[in-house]
Amino acid sequence: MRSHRRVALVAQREVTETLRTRSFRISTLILMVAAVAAVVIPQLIGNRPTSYTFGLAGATPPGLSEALVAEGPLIGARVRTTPLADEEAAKAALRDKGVDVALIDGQRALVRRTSSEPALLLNRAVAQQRLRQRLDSAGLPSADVAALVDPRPLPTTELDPLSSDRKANRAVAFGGVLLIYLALLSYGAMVSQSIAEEKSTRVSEVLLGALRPHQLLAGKIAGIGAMGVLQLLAVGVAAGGAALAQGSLHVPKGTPLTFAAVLIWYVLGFGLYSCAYAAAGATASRPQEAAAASAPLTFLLAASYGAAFASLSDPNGPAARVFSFIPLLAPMTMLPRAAAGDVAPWEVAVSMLLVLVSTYALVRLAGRIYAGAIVRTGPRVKLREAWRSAPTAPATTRL
Amino acid sequence: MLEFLGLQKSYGDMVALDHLTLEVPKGELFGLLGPNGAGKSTVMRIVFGLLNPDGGEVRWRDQPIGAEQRLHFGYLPEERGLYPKMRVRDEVVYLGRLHGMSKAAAGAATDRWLDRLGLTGRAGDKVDSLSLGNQQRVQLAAALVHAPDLLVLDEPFSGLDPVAVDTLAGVLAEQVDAGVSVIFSSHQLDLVEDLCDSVAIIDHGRLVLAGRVSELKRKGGRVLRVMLANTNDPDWASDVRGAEVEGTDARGTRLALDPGSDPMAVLAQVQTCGDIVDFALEQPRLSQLFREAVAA
Repeated sequence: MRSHRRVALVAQREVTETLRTRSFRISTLILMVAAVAAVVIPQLIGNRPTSYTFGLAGATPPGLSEALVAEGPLIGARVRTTPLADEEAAKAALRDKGVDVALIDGQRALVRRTSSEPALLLNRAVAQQRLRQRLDSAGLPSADVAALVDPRPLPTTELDPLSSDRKANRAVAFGGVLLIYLALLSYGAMVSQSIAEEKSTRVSEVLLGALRPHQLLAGKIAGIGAMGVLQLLAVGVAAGGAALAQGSLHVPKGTPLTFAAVLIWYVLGFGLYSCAYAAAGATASRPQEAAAASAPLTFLLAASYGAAFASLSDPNGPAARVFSFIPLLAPMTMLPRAAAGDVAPWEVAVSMLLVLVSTYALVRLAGRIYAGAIVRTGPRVKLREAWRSAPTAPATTRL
Repeated sequence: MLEFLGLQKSYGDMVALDHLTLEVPKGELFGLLGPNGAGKSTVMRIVFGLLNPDGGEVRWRDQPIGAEQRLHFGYLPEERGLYPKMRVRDEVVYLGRLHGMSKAAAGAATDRWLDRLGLTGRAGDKVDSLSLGNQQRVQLAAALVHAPDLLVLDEPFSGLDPVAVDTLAGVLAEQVDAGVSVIFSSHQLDLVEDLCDSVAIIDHGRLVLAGRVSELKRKGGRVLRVMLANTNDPDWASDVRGAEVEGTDARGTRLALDPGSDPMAVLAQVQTCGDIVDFALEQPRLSQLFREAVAA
C-alpha cells in the first residue's frame, strides 16, 4: 500500500472518530449559533428603522402635520403625529414616552432633550410652515412656494464609495482573525492532546509497527486540520445563511473573499503550528501534560493575536507590514491588511511563501522530535533527548 | 527464521542488551524468558523499529527488517495499545487496513477473529467499556487480523483468567500449526513449559540458556521426588548419597540425582529413613532451570 493511502487512512480515522465525539458536535453547534447571532442581532438592534411620534396639543397650524410626516424620509425615520388635548396631556405623554416631542398651540415645543433629532425636525417643520404661510400671504404662486420649501434632499455623491465596504470588511477581518486564532488554538491543542493520548495508551507502538512516524504525524495533522476547516465552513455557512435569510442585509463586497482568505490562512497557520504542537504532545508522558508541554506555542499564538489587533487598527502602518512577513505572525496579521488596507498581491504571495518554507523547515525539525519522543516511555522527554533518540533510518533496524 | 545478531542497547549507563545473539526457529512457539529488566521488551521493541539498537542487527528470513517486512508482523505490546474510545470492530478493521488489507478483507477477518475470541456481541462497544480480559482479546485480534507471518507478544498471558489463558494458548497453537512463528515473553514458567517448543532465557541483556524445552530438561538431569512418612530424622535427605536436595513441597522432597547416579540405589537409601508413601522419577521443571540459569 502506498504511503499516501496510509496517511489518508490515519486522517480518515481522525475525522470519523472526531465527528463521533459529542464535544465536537456541541462546539460546532455553539459556534454556528454564535455566527448566526453575530449576523442577526446587530440587524435587529441597529437597523430597526427609527420612528418618531409628534404630539400636537391645542391649535395646530394647518398643514404642519403633513409637513412633519413628509420630513421623516429625509433623516431615514418614520414619522407620525398624534393629537393631544392640552399641555398637561402632552407632558404626561412625553413622560410615558408615548410621544418624542410635543408642540403646544403651534407656538412652543416640549421635549425631553433639546438637542434631540425630533426636536430639530419639529423646529425645521414649524419654520418651513411659517415661511410657507408668509410666502402664500405675499401672493407668491403656490407652485413657487412648494419649490422653495420643498423638503426633497439635494442630489448627493459619496466621495469614496468603497469606504463603507472597507469599514465592513474590517469588521469581517476582525471576526476572521478571531476565528483563525480560536481554530489554531483549539485544533493545535487537539493535535498535542491526541498525540499524548496515543503515546500514553501505547497505541502509537502498535501503529508504528505498520506506519512510519512521519506517516502517522501527517495523517493526524491532515485529519484534525480538516475538522478545523469543516467547523470554519459550518460557521461560514451559518453566517451566510443567516445573512441571506435576512434579505435586506447589506453584505460588504469583499466578504466572500475575506472568508476564503480566513480558510486559506487557517490552513497555512495550522500547517505551521500543528507540527510544533505534535512535537510538544509527543514529549508529554500523559495527556494531562500536553497542555503544559505546548504552553510556549499557546503564548506564541496569543502574541500573534495581539499583533493582529495592532494590524487591524492601522492596516497600512509599518508594524502591520512587518508583522505580515513574519511567518509565525503572518496567518493572523496578513488578513487585516488584505481586508481593510492596501496590499499588493505580491505581498500576500511572498508572505504565504515564507509561511510554507517555514512549515517545511518545522516539519523536518518537529517531525524528528516527534519520532524520537513518541516511543520514549517514562517521564516527560526533553527536546534534546527526543532529537537524539529519533530513528535515523526509520525503514530498517540494520546499522 | 528470526535472528538477533549481537544486539546491543544501553539506556545511559544501564546496559539493556549485551551482544545478544539468538535464533527463533520458523513455525515454532518460542518463549523468551528472563527476570524483570532482563531486556525482553527491548528486544521486541527493536523488532518493530520502536528502538534503534546501539549495535547488532535483527534479521527476518535472512534479510534486515524493514517497514515492508513489519507489515507481516503482529505485535502485542506489554502495556496494551488500543484507542480506548474507538469501537471494537472499527479498531481491529483499522489496524488490519493499516497493514495493507482492503476494507472488505479487513472487515471479514475482523468478524472471524471477533467470533473466534467470543467478542461478536461486543463489536459495536467502545474498547474502554470492556473488561481488561476482553480488551486483551481485542488486542490479540488486532495482532492477528492481517494474518501475520511472525507474532511478537509481550507478556500476553498476564492478567488473564484460566479460561482466557486456554483460549489464547489454543489460538497460538493454531497459528503455529499454520506455519506462523510466534515469540512471546512470560513469567508464567509452567505455562511456557507446556506450550513452547523452544525457549531462551536472558538476564541482564545476555543470553544465559536457549534450546528446545525437551532438550534442556533432558540435559538438566533427573529428579527423584519422594514422600516419606514415619521418619525420626527431619534432616534425613542430607545424608543420602548420589543426590542433592533441591527442595521440599507438598508433593514431597525433591532430590536432584548426580550424573550417573542410579535412582534405585538412592531410593534404597531413602527407604532406610522411613516409610515411602509416594515417589517418582522426574525431569526438572522449567522454573528450576530458569532459577539455576539466572542465579549462575
